[in-house]
Amino acid sequence: MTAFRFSRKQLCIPYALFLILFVVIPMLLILFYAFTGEGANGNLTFTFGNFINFFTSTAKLSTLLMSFTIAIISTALCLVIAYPLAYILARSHWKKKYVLLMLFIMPMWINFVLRITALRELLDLVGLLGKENYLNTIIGMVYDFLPFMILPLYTTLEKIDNSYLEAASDLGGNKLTVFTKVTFPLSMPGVISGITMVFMPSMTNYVVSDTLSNFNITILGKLIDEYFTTFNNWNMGSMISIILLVIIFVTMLLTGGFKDNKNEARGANLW
Amino acid sequence: MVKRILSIAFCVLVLLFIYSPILLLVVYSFTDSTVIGQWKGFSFSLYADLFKSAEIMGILFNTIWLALAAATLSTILGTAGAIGIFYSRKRISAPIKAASQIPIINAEIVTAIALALLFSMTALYRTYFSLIIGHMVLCTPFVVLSVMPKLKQMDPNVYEAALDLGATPSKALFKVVIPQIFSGIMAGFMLSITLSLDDYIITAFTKPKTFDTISTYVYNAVKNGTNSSTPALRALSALIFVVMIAAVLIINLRAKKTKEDRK
Amino acid sequence: MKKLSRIAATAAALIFSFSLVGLFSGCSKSNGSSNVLRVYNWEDYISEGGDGYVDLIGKFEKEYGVTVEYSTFGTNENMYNELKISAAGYDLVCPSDYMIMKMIAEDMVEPFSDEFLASGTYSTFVSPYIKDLFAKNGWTKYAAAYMWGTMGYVYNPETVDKEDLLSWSGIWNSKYDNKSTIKDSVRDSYFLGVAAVYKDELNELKAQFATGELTDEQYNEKITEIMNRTDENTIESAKNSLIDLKQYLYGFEVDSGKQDMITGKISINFAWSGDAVYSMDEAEDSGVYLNYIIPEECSNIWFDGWVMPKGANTDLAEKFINFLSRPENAVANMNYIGYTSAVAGDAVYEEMLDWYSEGEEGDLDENGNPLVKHDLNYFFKDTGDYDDYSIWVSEESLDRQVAAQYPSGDVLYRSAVMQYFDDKANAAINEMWEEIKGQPIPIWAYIVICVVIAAIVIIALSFVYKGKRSEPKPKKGYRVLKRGI
Repeated sequence: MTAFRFSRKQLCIPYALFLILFVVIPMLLILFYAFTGEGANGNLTFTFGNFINFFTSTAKLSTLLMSFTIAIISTALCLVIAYPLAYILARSHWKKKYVLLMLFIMPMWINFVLRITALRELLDLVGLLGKENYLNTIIGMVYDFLPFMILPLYTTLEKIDNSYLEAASDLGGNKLTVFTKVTFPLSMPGVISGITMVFMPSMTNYVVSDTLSNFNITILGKLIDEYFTTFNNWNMGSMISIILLVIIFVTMLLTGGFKDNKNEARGANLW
Repeated sequence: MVKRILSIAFCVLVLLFIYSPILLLVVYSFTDSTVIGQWKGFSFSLYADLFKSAEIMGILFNTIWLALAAATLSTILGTAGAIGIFYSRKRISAPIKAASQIPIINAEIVTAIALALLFSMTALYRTYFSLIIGHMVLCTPFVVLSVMPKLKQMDPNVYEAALDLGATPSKALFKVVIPQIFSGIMAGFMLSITLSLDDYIITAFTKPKTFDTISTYVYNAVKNGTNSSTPALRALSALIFVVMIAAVLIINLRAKKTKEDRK
Repeated sequence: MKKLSRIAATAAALIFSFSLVGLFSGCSKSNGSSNVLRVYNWEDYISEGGDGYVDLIGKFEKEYGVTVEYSTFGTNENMYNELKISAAGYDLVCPSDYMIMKMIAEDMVEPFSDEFLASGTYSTFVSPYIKDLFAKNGWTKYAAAYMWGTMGYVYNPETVDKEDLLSWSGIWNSKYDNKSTIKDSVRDSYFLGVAAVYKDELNELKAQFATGELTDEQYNEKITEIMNRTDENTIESAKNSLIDLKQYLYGFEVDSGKQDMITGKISINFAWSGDAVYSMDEAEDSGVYLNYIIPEECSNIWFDGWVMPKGANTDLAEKFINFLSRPENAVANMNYIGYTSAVAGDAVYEEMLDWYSEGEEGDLDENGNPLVKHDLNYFFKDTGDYDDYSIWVSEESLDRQVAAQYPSGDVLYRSAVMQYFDDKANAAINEMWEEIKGQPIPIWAYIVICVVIAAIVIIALSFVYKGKRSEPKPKKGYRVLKRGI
C-alpha cells in the first residue's frame, strides 16, 4: 500500500525539478543581476546603483508613468466594453448564446502578432497610423486583451443565481440598486481577474506598441527588451524586471488576485 | 424593446471592432496589390505566391511542429506533475504549486529574459533545446491547472478498488486514473498548442538564430518595413484566420453538443 | 541539518549536470566542421536570388562545396550582444564602423592572414579610398569593408526647397510639420542632434577651409572631433535640440521611411545613401522624382565591414570575403541591395557607366546644358585598366542616385567617421535617447494619473467612512452575532 502511494507522489519530481531549473533559478538570476554591477576594479559587486538609477532617471520614470497610463486606460476601456457585453450575454435567454460568446472570444485562438498586424493595416487605411501613436497603442491593447476581460466576466455573471436578483427586487430595490448592491458585488471576482489579466500585459506587451506606434512608444516591456538586446546592460534590465514584478505583486495583492486560484481568466478554461 | 435593440446594436458594434481588421485582410488577400486599400481585381495570385514560397512554408511548418512538440512534452510533464502534486502532502505540494504560478502571473518578457540569462551561461543558448524549454515553461503550468480540477472531481475509491482487484499501481494509473482525467489532459494539450502558436516574446529570446516562427517572421517584417513588400503574408494571415475560426467553432460546438446530449 | 545538506548536494549536482550537458553540446557545436561557415549579417544585405538576381550564398556553397549557415541581425548593438553571449557561434560578422572599432579594441576579432592581405581578391579590388581610410585608422588587419556610404536627406523637390536642406537644421522648421522622419537609432539621431548644435562652429570651419586656412586633412580631423563629442554639455544640448525637433517630425522610423517617401506620406527622410538610392529608384517607378542631398556643414561617412570573431573558421571566412569581393559579385550585390560596394574594379565601373552615364564630354543634356563631370577617380583609380574613371551627367543628376552612390570628392573632406564611445558615454547617450523618445509626456497622461489617484483616495476614504457608519447599532437587547463579510 505505502509502496504505490509513494510512486504516485514521485510523479511530481520531474515537474518540481523542471520548475526549479527553469523557473526558480532564472528568477533568482534576475534578482542577482539586478543588485550587482561592475565595481571600480571590474569585479562583481553588490550594489543598489541600478535601483537608484531607475528612480532618478527622468527617462525611465516617464516610461513607467506612460506605461501605467496606457495600461490603466486600456484596462478601463476593456472593462467598459466587456462588462455590458458579458452582462447582455449572460442575462439573455437565447439558447444559442454560447455561439455568440464564442464569436467574442475567438481572437484568443488566433496568433496575436497576425491580428495586430491586421489592425495595423486597418489603422493605416483610416489614416491613424503614424499620427496618433498613443491612441493606436491603446486601441491595440484593447483589441488584443478584450477577450481576456469578457471571459471571466461572463463566467461570473452567468453563475449569479437569478433568485438573488428576484429577491432583491422583491424587497423593493429598483433596477439600479439591484445592480449596484447585488449584481455588481457578486461579479467582483470576474472584474478582478479581468483586470489582472489585462493590466499587466498592457504594460509589457511591446509587440502591440511597436507595431501600432511605428516604434515610437516605449513601454516598460520594451525598455526591458532594449536593456537586454540593445543597451547590453543586463543589470539594469533585471532591475526593471524586478520593479515590474513588484508592481504586478502589488496589483495582485490590492485586487485580491491571488485568491483567484482558478485562473479562469487566463484562459485555463479556454478549451 | 428599446433595450433589446440597444443591446443588439452594442454586440454588433463590438463584433465589428473585433472582426473588421480580420475581414479587411481576408478581402485584400484576394487581390494582387502591394498596398491595402488598392483593389486590383479579384485574383488568387497571393495564395499562389504563398504556396510557392519555400521560406514561408518552412516557417509555417516550424511553427506547427514546435507547437506540437512543446504541447506534447508539456502535457506529459504537467499531467504527471498534477497527479504528483495532488497525492503529495501539503508541505511538498504547496511550494510546487506556488512555483507553478510564477510563469502564469509573470510578464512574458520577464520569463523570457530570465530564461535567456540562464541559457546564456551554458552553450545551450539559442538552441532547439532552449526554445522547447521556453515553450514548456509557458505551457506546463496551464496543463497542471487544467488537470487539477479533474483530479479533484475523481472518485478516490476507484483507484483503490482497482488495486484491490489486483492491478499494479502503474496499471491502475493508466487504466483508471488517466481515463477519468482525460478531458482535462486534452484541454491542457489544446491550450498548450494555442499558447505556443500565439507566443512571440519567449520565442524571440530562446529561438536558434536561423529559426523563425510565424510570430517572429511577421514581427520582423513589420520592423523592417518589408511587410507591405511581401503581400503573400496577407494570404497567410487570411488563411490562418479562416482555418482557426472554423476549427474552433467546430470543436467547441461539438464539445458543447456532446455535453448537452449527456445531460 | 543533514537533510538540508542533502538538499544542497542534490541541487549542486543538478546544476553541475545541467551545465555539463551544456558544455558537451557546446563543444560539439562550437568546434563546428571546417565545411560550415556561419555568417551573421544585416537583414537584407546580400543578394539572395529570385527575380533574376544572383543567389550569392548558393553560388559560394556550390563553388567551394561547403555549407553556409546564414543568420541576420537588426542593429549593431543587437549583434554585439549576441556575440558576447555565444562568441564561438559565428565565423564572419558584418558590423559598422564604430562597432568594428569597439570589437578591435576589446580584442574580439581574429586578424586576417598575410596571404589575404597581400594578394586576396579583396585586397586587389577594394577601392583605394577605402583602403587608405582603413590603413589610416589601423583597421586593415581586422576588417574588410563590405558596403559604404554617406548620410543625408532624401526629399521630394516638389514640396521641399533644396535651399532649406543645405543645412542639417533645415528640418527644425514648422514649414515641414509632420513631413519628415529621422532614424530610430541612437547613434544616427545623435549625429543629427550634434550637427544642429554645432552648426555655427561647423560653418566657421567650412569658411576656413574655403580660404585655405585649413588643409583637407585638418578640416576632416576637426569635423570628426566635433561630431564625436560626448561631453555633458553636448549631450544635453543635443537632447534638447532633438526634443525640440520632435514637434516637427512625423516620427522615428526603423525602416519604414523608404516606403513612406515612395508613397508620399512624408517628404523628407534622414537616410543612409543606400536607402536613398532604393527610395529614388522605387519612386521613379511610380513617376515620382526624389532627390538626395548631403548638407553642407558635414556628413557621416559610414561603412560596414566583415570581421572574424575569435575562434572563427578563418580560412573559409577569408574565402567568403574574397568571393564577395569579385567585382561581378559586388555588382550582383549592388543591384540587389541598392547600397554601394566598397569594391571597385572595372566591372563595377562599367555597370555604373551603364546606369548613370548620359554621354561624353561636351554632350548636352535634355535642356541643352552641357554635361558635367562626376569624378570618381578617388574611388576606382588603379583597380582596373581605365585611365580616367569619370562619369558625365547632367547637373540635375548630381542631386540623384549617382551622387548618393558615389559622393563627389569634396563631400568626403567634410565627412566624419563615427567613433566608438566608451561605456560611460554610451550609457549617457542611451539615457538621452530614452528621454527623447519618452518626452514630452502628453497632458492627458497627467490627467489620467490624477484621476486614478483621486479615485483610489475616494475609495479608500469611503471604506473608512463606511466602515464607521455601516456598523449597525444593535437594538437594545439584541447582540450582533456575525457581521457581514
